[in-house]
Amino acid sequence: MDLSLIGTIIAVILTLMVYSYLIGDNPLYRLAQNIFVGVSIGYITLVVIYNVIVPFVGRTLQDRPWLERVLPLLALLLGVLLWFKAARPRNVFSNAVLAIIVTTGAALGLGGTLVGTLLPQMQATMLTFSSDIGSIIGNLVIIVGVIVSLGYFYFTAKPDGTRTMTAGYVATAGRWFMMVAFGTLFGFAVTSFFALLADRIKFLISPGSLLL
Amino acid sequence: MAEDYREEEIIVPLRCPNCGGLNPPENKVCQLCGFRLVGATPVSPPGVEMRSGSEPPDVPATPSPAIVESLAPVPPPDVSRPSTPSARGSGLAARLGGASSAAPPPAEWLGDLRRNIGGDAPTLINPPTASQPAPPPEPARSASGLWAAPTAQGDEQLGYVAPPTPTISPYRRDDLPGPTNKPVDWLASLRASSSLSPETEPDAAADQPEDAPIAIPDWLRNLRASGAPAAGVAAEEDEGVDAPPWLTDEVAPDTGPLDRAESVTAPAKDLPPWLRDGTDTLDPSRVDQFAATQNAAEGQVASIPPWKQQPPEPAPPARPDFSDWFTNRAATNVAPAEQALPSTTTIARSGSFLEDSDAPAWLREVAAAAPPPMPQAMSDPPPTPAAEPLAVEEGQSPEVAEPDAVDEAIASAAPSARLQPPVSDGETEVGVAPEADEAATDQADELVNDQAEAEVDAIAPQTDTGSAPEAATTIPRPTTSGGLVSGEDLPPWLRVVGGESAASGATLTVADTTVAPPTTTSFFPGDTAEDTTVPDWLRGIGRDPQDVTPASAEALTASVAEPVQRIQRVMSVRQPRPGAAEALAALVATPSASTRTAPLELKGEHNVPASLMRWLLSERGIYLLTALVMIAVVLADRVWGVQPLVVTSPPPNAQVDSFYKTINNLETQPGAPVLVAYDWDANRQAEMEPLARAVTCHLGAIKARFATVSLAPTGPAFAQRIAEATVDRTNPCTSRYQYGSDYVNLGYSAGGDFALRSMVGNIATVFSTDYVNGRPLFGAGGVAALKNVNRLSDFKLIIVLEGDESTARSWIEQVASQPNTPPLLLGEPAALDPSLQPYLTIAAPTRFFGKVAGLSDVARYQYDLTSKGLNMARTDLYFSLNTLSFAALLVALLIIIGNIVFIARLVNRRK
Repeated sequence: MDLSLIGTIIAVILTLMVYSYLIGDNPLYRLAQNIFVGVSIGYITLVVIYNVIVPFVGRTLQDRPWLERVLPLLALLLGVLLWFKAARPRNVFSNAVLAIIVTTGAALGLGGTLVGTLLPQMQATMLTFSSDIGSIIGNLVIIVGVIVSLGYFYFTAKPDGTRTMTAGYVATAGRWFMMVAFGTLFGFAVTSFFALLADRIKFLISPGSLLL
Repeated sequence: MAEDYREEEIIVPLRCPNCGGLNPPENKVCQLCGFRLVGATPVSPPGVEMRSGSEPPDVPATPSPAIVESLAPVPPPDVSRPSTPSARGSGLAARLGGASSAAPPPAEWLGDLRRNIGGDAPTLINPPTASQPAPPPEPARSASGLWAAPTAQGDEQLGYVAPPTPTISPYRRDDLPGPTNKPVDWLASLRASSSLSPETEPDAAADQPEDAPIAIPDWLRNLRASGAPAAGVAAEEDEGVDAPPWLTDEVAPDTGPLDRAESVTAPAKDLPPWLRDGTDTLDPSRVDQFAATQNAAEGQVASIPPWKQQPPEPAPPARPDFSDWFTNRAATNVAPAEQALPSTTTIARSGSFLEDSDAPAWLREVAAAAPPPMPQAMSDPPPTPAAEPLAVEEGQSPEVAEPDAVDEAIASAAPSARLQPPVSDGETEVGVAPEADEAATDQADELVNDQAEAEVDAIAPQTDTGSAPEAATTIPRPTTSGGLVSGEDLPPWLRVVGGESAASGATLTVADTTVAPPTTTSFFPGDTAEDTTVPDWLRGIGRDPQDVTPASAEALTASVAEPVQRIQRVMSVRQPRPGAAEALAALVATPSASTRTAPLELKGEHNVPASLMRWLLSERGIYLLTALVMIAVVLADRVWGVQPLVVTSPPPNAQVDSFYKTINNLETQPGAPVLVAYDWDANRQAEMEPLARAVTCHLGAIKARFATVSLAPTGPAFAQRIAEATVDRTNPCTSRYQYGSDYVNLGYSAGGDFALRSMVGNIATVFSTDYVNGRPLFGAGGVAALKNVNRLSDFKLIIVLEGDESTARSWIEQVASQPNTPPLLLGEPAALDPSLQPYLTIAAPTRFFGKVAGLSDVARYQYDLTSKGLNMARTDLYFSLNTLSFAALLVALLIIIGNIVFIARLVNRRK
């Protein structure tokens, strides 16, 4: 028997086990869930070993200048120190490694966010009204939406706990804008999952369709 | 009066609602039990009515002697300020009346007292000053202190009923219990020597050691022998009464049963046997707790100023057998119930008390001489056996809440589904006249309401049993002629009684909140099977014979009595809150309690459709319905080839067209390196795999070299499978493509942002070998697909196929924001389109040149490929689009139905 056919049969069975959740929570669904988690972890482990660790060690052992060989060893040492976290959660060595990771990641993320998200987004709100009427309306909606959405998060109030009427209206409009945005996100998400469901149904009815 | 009260710097203590103890006004929590005192009412002094600003002042401008006397602090037996009511009254009267500050000359008995005290004079902890009298050494929790007895007695003679407990006396700061205020030994000894037993005086027992000598100082004995002046009357001082008569006996012999403290402190020899037993077995904690819970009512009762009880006209001659206090009551037409409001438990006990041969003669005589208690206005008057209730009302027998009586009352109160308003006919009450003081009646009404509400809360679960449809969930307020509640507001069964009471202005047999423990909640004295002393006419008040039979009531009583007692046994350490045990027991015993929380069940033929509809409208039902519809669509497509909702020519899309053109522009650069990122997982396979196939086909058609990378662990597998399937020799898109020379799979890179940033500088730091064969990518033996490629900027185009928003943002922030970055194209599922749309808009001129989002865009992209002669197998794509279209229509239909149902329910609810 062809291995691909066996794999297809197993995939069909597991798919049916997963969709048995439509009837209710049952052992078959739990079994498929556990199988999926186990297979995923095993696969990822192999991928990391053969696609990350082994090439890394190979590069380190290559005939390179001593600095290029020491730095990977230093990184490897830091990785080993991170394992002390399992023995003692407050181990100083593992905390030092984590500190390096966190600080480096924060610096990298801050720079990328500032250049890649914050400034471009601010630039995107600086729109002109020189084009056609459709673009003018669209740009106006964007500008108003940005302002009122930011105004929703303006929590400053008077000493007596009340807010000005303008702030209240702005917050209300901002809430409506955000609700529209969230509704759009939800609708698109539903569409994506319906596409996945249709694909699985197609797979169940004609398993060979996966093969071109 | 209130201003004078404040001017005297009399500290108004706060009574703890939990334990009843008094606390200094600045205390936030009770210093006895730790209960929070927020909202605790201050204790008003006797004779001083704490009124709000809105209430009309009814206090005379000139304080009456009784009020003055009642305001007087209780000094210790100090030589400079004897603790006699007359002295105290006169001294404070002089101060309140604006008289000279000179103290009145002491009487002779005071001089004798000074001479007799000698070295036995007690040493005060806080010696009194000239402006402030010495504080009494006993904490205010004492039910009957030595100092309180003469005060009550003196007030009795003035026509004023002493407060039920001395806690409502004006205390100064030093009077309050505190660490520095210890009872003086001589006073403890004196109290121990009195007739009060330790069981009835918890504070005394607690404050005094067991082996403390019970001895009265000689000076006090002499003082008792010499007697005290007439209580409370300053004029009697001038008449030369040398010996205070209240000191001749420790307790006034005939003060009447009105005062709780007096009844408790009465000598055992003067009590009948039943009362002695009750006194012996009385649980002091219950009395204290009950006094604490009923503080409001106490305050109301105690706040009735004595001057309001002054007779408007000279009193008629009293019967010789009655004591003075009783004759004064009769003369002033003030019901005893107004002075000391007996509880219904007391009524029940009073019946046996009257039958007891040990009852006082005067009381039996009053009972015998009373008119028939049968109310004329009763709609269904049962036969009246005796005048016992009259005697109870009239005599105001000593009230002692025995534990047995309390338990019986609990057992009788819980099952009683109806609440009997404590209304008695005016004819049955001696001394009650229509011209009774209206203000006092109003206060009694408020007291009745407070008590009634507590009773209703306690027995509320029982009212749901349906055994008594007319059960008064709110006690009908006994009305006066000008009251707010008229006869129309009363339930039918009560209109006659209430109307008669209101018309006659009769006062009520309201509960004595100072004596009865909180568990005496029965409004039906005759509900208990053991209580046979209550006449039938009283049992029949408010009872509808058609609804509740005595047998059913007794059965319910028996079923609830045991749980109540069990609860009380369990809660022996701390008594339950008023009504809690009854409510819990009633809830447990109620048959409908278990079914009250049961879900609504539809019976008969309506059950199945309702259940089916409920299941279909649930989340799982919607899922299953959608799946069934989609399966039906797939079967129709596969079996009959029906694809009604497929659009073979998708509408133009600028982003998709830009995506296509950007790739197609590489046709002029054969062998241009392109990087394709597979950053999606299996959950995005339905949308991303058709796009990945189309992109791979397109790259093969333009003869571009491409390398695949992935930031997701499963990405390399998908990339390899799609690439191998696409470059199949039989596929016209990528003919003659070979792995390694035309395309390569770099595999998975861990690190996210770090990896991307590293790839910007040098790809070799991240990927050194390929994913399939593990061959070196760079160097002498490197793959041909990465020839002249060392960093990301060496690629001519980067196509990011994203399935996760965070990874897409990493590409934008770490790669697209860098200079010299090649153009980027974004392929994404539909779910990410709204989130990533802003990035595409802002970066379009420089970095992102197009996007493909979802199956609809993929269809458009594949449609564009057909213009190039790349006829991809779009059957599966159209199949998916057809199924997806049906599912979208189904969801839209369900949303519309759901909104219609919601709006319909909303309209019905508003109607």
